[in-house]
Amino acid sequence: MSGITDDLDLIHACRSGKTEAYGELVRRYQDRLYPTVLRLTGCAEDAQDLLQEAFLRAYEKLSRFHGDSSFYTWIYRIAVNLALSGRRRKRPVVRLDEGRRGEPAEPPVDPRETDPSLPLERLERERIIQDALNALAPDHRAVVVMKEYDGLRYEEIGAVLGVPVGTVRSRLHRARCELREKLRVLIDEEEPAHQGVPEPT
Amino acid sequence: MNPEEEVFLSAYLDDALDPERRRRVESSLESDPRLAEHLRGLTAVRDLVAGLPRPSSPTDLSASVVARLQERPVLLPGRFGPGAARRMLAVLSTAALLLVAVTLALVASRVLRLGGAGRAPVEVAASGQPTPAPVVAQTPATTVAEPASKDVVAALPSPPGPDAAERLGDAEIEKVRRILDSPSLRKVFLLADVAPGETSRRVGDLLDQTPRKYATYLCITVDPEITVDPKHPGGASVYAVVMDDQELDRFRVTLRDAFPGKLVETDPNPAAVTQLADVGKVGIFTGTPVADVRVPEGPPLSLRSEPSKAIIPVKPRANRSSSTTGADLASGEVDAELAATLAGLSSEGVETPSVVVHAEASAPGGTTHPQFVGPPAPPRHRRPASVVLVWVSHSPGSRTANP
Repeated sequence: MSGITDDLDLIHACRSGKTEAYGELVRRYQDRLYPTVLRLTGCAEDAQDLLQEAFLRAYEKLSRFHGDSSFYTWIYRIAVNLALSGRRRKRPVVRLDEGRRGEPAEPPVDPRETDPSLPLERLERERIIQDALNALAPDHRAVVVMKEYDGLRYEEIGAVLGVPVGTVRSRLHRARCELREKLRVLIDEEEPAHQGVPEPT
Repeated sequence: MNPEEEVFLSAYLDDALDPERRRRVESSLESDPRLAEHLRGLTAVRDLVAGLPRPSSPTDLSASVVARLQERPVLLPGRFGPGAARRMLAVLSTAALLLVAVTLALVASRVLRLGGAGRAPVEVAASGQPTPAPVVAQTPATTVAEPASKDVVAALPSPPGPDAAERLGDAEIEKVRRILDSPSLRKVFLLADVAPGETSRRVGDLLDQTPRKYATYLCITVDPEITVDPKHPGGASVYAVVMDDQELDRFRVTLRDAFPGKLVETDPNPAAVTQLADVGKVGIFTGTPVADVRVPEGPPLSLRSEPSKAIIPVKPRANRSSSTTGADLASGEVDAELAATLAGLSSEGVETPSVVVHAEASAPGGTTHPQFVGPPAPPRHRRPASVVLVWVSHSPGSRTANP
């Protein structure tokens, strides 16, 4: 049985009222979605909140999922557009790991703060890149994350955002140009590695 | 390569060009060292972003998501066969949006008690801004769909007490979201607020003065720094009203009279509309219920043939009786979900969002030009009511955009 078929079975179970089946879908895709959401929000705490909300939204709209695409593609689209809506920037939310009794739990752990194996320079580098991403307009950031980080094609990005391929192309170029200026320090450090005309991928 | 064509550098980097365009880019790269340097910079950016770590989620969300889902029952169309869905739709289609409006009135009465009365809006979603009433939106709950009025009444917000304010805001913003998400969204009247606040005020006055079966309406204010649609920068005031077909026809004429020559119809963009509840400040108002219009006894009246003039100023009621139906906005969601299910089964009886009416307010003394950018409204099935938006853009340059 393929993964997609498994997903459909779980979705059918959800529709018959078995909410536990949805927990399996969450477990299945949360780690795959989290990095994308993290780059879009720029903050581990916001990323977790947004991811939870994306799963809740997807459940609400489960009746509209007809299996034309994979569940992952569908939830990916919901998560990206939720991040783009900007609502997570300001709206207070229920803490993710708040118990049913309402006591706040420990804040989400930022792996950058706890992983001693990561060299300090890499951490600093990641921070600079993430800060540069955060400074982009949300639409530009989304296109860059989907293309560079997630490896989507222009057509796929256009489908997620509901914009033409030409718009994806121009947004991506502008975003890259802006990032090039913001990341000048890092790019100059790597200049020897980028001599000559790069080949297209 | 001119600046306009530089955009193809990125596409070249991604190998997303046709052969002819690719040859032209390569030719430019060979002859222009500056361009080659530019491409190296773009390549470095690509590699830097692609090289960012991909951490796993620090917390397993499955338990918290399932717990949230189990807090409230969720009605999904998959639990009903097509016949059941059709039967339920037949029962609910007439009542559902009526219930929406009545519950709006109930919500309004409660919120007005919290935050004051009259035309001052009570914000139920303030995007982190201070609000007159301490109502703070939270993570949306799952869909609640209780067609039984008793259950629906039980689902209404409880009076504010310790920690009640956040729950109240959560519940109400969820109801607002359901209205905006409704497939019954049919019309959006667009207006450009050239004189700051003037058009919005006039629209509010018109809504107050125009008797409607469902008198309660929402006003959602989007701050200038939040862009729902790039074509609509600079914020907006969006009124959400529930109207039946006849009221809609009359309201269109009323708007045309109020903003002569500025009415434009375009298609709605549900994605943009859906965001409103999340990014805007929501005020709930009570307009003029049609039931308040008294027809004096005596000789038969000669009715006006021009419906647009049928504006009868009647003092708005602060509260509407909850005994009418005792229904919840969630019932509207039942209708919508079932309609969506039917849409997947056959094309009959389901109407897709079609035409948007777009109008522009004129600046004082300014010259305006009517724009009819959308097609004329096609023949449609009659149905009891639908959600209508009046979108007053605070940006004068966004007149033809499509929310």
